[in-house]
Amino acid sequence: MNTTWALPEVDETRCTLCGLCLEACPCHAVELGERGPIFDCPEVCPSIECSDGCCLCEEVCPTNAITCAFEIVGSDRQDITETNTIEDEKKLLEEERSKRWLQ
Amino acid sequence: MAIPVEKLSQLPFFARLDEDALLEIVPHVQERTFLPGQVILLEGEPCREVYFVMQGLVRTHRLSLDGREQVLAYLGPGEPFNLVPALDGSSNLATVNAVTDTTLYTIPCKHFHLIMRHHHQVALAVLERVAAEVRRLSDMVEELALYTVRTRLARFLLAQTEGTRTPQRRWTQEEIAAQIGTVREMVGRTLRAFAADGLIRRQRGVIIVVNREGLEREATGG
Repeated sequence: MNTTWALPEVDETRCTLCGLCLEACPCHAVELGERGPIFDCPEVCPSIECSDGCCLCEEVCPTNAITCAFEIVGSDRQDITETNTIEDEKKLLEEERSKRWLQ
Repeated sequence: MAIPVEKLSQLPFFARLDEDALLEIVPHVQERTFLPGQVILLEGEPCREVYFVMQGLVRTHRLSLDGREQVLAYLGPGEPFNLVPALDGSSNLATVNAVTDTTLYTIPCKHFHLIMRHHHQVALAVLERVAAEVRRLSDMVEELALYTVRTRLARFLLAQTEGTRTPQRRWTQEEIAAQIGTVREMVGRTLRAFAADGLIRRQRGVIIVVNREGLEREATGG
């Protein structure tokens, strides 16, 4: 499923460049630009701490400058449920990291 | 520019009228377009027009003094709004804004009264619509007053997967909060609790209902 639209959106008129979103992001997928955060969130967060989807940046933002949008679907949506689960992705990433360590 | 008669007849309100009746009404109808986010009318202002959605999606809501929002309805093609103040002559009941690119047909309130007097089918359609609204709003009051946030959120998530009650679209936590009568932080906390209980799974841009039976139990307050 293509979820490129699903990156967090920033209202730059509200952003105060406090940087709390950078600290909150478990994937370290946020950079602070001149007018606000720039997001590069992965499809599935590789961080072990992030096991239930994200939106932590939205929750910590003190000025409500960040919003994450999402669709709500049943498990009959084949285009989503055939994707690896988060646990599968994390396992794959760990295996990849181990291979690189051994090389 | 005159509205085509066949377009007006597509609206359920006017579907029972013959062509002569429609030709009488058409001169009173104007077409207006709105961009996403634009305000169509404001709560508390004098009622000027009755509106019919031809294309797009609008959102009616009320705001508290401290900025909390409660969504009353999302309305799509064929649905009217601002009927009640047109009937009782009072001010607009809610603020309405466009969610998507939206095209509306509007009729000034004084002309709408004349139309209802001359065409009983339109008056009947108004009665049916108002009755349906009373029923729907009664259900909403019951939910808001008697169910917990957890139950309300479960019902919302299930309705989304069934395509009922609310439009299928992308949601933010803020919008869900306005829909179910709570604040964004509670929605976030409850979604995390549902995920921890294995009822939903979250990926970027998606919430997947994985345990429907469990969520249905939550939705009944069980």
